[in-house]
Amino acid sequence: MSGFLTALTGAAAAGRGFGMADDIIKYGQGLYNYDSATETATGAMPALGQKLAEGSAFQGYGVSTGLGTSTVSTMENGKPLMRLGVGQDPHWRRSAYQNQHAGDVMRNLSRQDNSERQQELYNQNMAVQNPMLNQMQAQQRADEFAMGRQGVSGSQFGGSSEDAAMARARVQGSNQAYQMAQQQGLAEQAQQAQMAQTFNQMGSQSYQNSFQPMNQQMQMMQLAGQDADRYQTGQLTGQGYLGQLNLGGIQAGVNSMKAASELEGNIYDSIFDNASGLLSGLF
Amino acid sequence: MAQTLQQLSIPGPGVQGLNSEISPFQQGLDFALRADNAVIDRVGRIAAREAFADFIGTHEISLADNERFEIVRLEYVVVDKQDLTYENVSEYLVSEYGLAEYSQRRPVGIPGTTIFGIAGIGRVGQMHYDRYIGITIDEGVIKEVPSVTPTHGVTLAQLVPFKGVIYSFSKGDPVMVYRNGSASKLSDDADFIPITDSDGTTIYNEIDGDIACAAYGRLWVSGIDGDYDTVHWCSLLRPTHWYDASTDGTNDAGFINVREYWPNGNDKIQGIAAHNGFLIIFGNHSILIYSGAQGNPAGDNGLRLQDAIRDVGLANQDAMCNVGSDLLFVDSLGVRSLGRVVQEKSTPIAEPSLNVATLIRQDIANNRDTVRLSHLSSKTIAICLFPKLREAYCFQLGQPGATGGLRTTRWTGCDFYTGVTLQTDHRETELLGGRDSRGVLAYSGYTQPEKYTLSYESSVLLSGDALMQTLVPKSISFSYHRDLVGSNPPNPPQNLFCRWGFSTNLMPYLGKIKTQNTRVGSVSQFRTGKCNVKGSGDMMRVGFDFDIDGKPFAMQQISINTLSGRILV
Repeated sequence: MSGFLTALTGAAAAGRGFGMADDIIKYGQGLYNYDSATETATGAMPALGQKLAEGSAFQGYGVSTGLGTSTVSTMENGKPLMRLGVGQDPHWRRSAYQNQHAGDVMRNLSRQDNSERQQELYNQNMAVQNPMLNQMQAQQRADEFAMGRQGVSGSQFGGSSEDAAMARARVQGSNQAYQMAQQQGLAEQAQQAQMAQTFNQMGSQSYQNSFQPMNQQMQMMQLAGQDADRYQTGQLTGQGYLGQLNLGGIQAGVNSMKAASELEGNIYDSIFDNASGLLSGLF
Repeated sequence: MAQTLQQLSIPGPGVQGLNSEISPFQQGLDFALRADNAVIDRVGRIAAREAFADFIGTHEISLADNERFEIVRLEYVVVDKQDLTYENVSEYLVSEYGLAEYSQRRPVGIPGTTIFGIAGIGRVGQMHYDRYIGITIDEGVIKEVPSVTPTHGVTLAQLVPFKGVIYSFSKGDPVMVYRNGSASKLSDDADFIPITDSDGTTIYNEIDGDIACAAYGRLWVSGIDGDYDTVHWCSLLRPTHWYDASTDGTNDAGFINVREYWPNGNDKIQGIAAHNGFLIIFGNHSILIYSGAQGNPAGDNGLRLQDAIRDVGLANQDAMCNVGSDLLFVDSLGVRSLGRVVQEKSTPIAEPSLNVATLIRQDIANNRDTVRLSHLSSKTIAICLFPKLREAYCFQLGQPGATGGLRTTRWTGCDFYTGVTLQTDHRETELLGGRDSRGVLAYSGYTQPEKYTLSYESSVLLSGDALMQTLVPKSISFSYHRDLVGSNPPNPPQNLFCRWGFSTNLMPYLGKIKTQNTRVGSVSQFRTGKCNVKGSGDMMRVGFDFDIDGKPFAMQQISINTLSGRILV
């Protein structure tokens, strides 16, 4: 009889054992189940992971200053979207444009063929020199007349030697005026180039300045980013805690399931042992 | 009351030459009221001038019937004959000036001359010429230079020797260059550079002025294209190069416009001359004296107006000549001179014709265009010739006379137009451009085709402080000098006549002078002739006429035997 009993108990224990195993499988599947056909995972663990993923997802942040309101968020495609909410300073930008325009004007001036300007300067210089030259010529004429040489012309000099000297003086004056004009023209050109550069620098500076509000806002965003980091860190920490706790719970559940199943198995095992002895006695 | 016979003496009669400017009562007997065909000889006596002798009469000039040629201009240049040999001497003598030279046939180193002239051709008996031709002397024959046919000759023309050739200027005609027997236009020379402005535009294609001079290595020309305010000069020693404003230093030709410098405000260039280192630009009634013509006239030390003289000018460009120490010229007041003072570089003006001013001014006034002045350097005389009158005043150069003017005599029968002293190494000849187809004449000897007479008239005897007194001359003795001819004593002159007169300008009395002291065997060059005279009156003058007969004649002294009549005042 005992054997029967043993068998009976053994069967009962086996049945219980299979039942517990099924329970454990179900529990395990309740915790994590992967459908290879759909390539999707279900269960408490993916749910916890999804929850953690959702809970740890970038939540975005924003900064509001007197300059404007900047936000950093996530687009629908998951990519971050930043809205600075602050543009270039229009005053500086206008200034930049104005300076740039002035720089362009100067640059164009500096790049222009300044022969006309040199001619203008030459004429001005000659206009300054001419009275002196004319005075010299008048003096020469007076001297020549006094010497009776006013009517003299020689091939070698084109006129008289005095005329040649006067012509040389005029050429010299002209050369001087030309050089002065050239130098002055080039200096003006260089000055224009310099001014173009200065204006361009000023324009550039203004342009840079025009970004100052944005820069400031971005600096504020950077500061805000730090806060967001901290927030995110906290969030992640919280999620970590949550995950760990859930995993701990799951682990505890699994462990408890394992312990229960082992206990139950041991019980069944002892029962079966006992039953077998009994049954062996019977049989 | 009868007066004693007294002798009045005129020693050295007329040694001061003519004087028309001092009253005959005031002037001394050194002066003469007439001195025709006379010169003052080397010892200060009044003497016969030399003849206008035939020299080269043979010619090959094409003349129509009843035409004559007269050489109105004559110039020469000395040509280098150092490379001559006996074999080619005849060839070189193509341009030799005279038969005498030609016949000498000196084998080597004979300096020769090239003679060129302008002859006027016109009808006999007329003053003007129908045409002018160039002439030269070829082996003692006057030949035409056919390429030279200037529009002008007597006036408005000039011959200028320069650099071994002779330039023939004529108003409005291209200047011709006579060289080695032929003539060509200067502008035909390959090197000719016409007057060009600074734009390269030719202003004048030809040098066609007629006022010209060669001095300081250049030709100086005025009257180009009728511009008589401007003097153009050629490049130094390059007569083909004229002003072209090239300014590359290869051409230093030029010009000067003197219009603003006429001291009277307006004038016209009449002549150009070089004297005392100056360039003298004569106007009609002004003179501009420029220094610095040497070197480059337009250069730093070039032309400078040294002086501008007003109211003294030049009658025409032929009426001037340089006599070395002075530049003589004719203006309306007579023959003037620009002196030569080296130190001060000034040019004092004198009046050589001072003694005959009244006479000569009248002649000049009537002959401004044709009056000419020539320097016969070998004779130390300058002659102021009036071709239309065929008369000349002869100025004895050297020390001026008592008045400051040059001693002056008058020449008549001057059948020549021009005079040039032809000087070679071994000969000096005064050539004259003859008239009436006589060809080239020489102022030489005492024989010429036309008779000429030395005439003298003294100023008033008993002049000065003497009271006016009637004179009753009895005889006049003449002591004169004649050259001996060979060893024969000279014959008593049959052609010496005494003249005397009273009160009037004419000397109506004429008497033949008989030689007193002709003795057999006498060979003295000094002789005395006597003429018994008659008549009486105040203002007595004496004189003589001597028909020159091939030998020189000079008057030493005139003595008058006379009674002094009553005193008139």
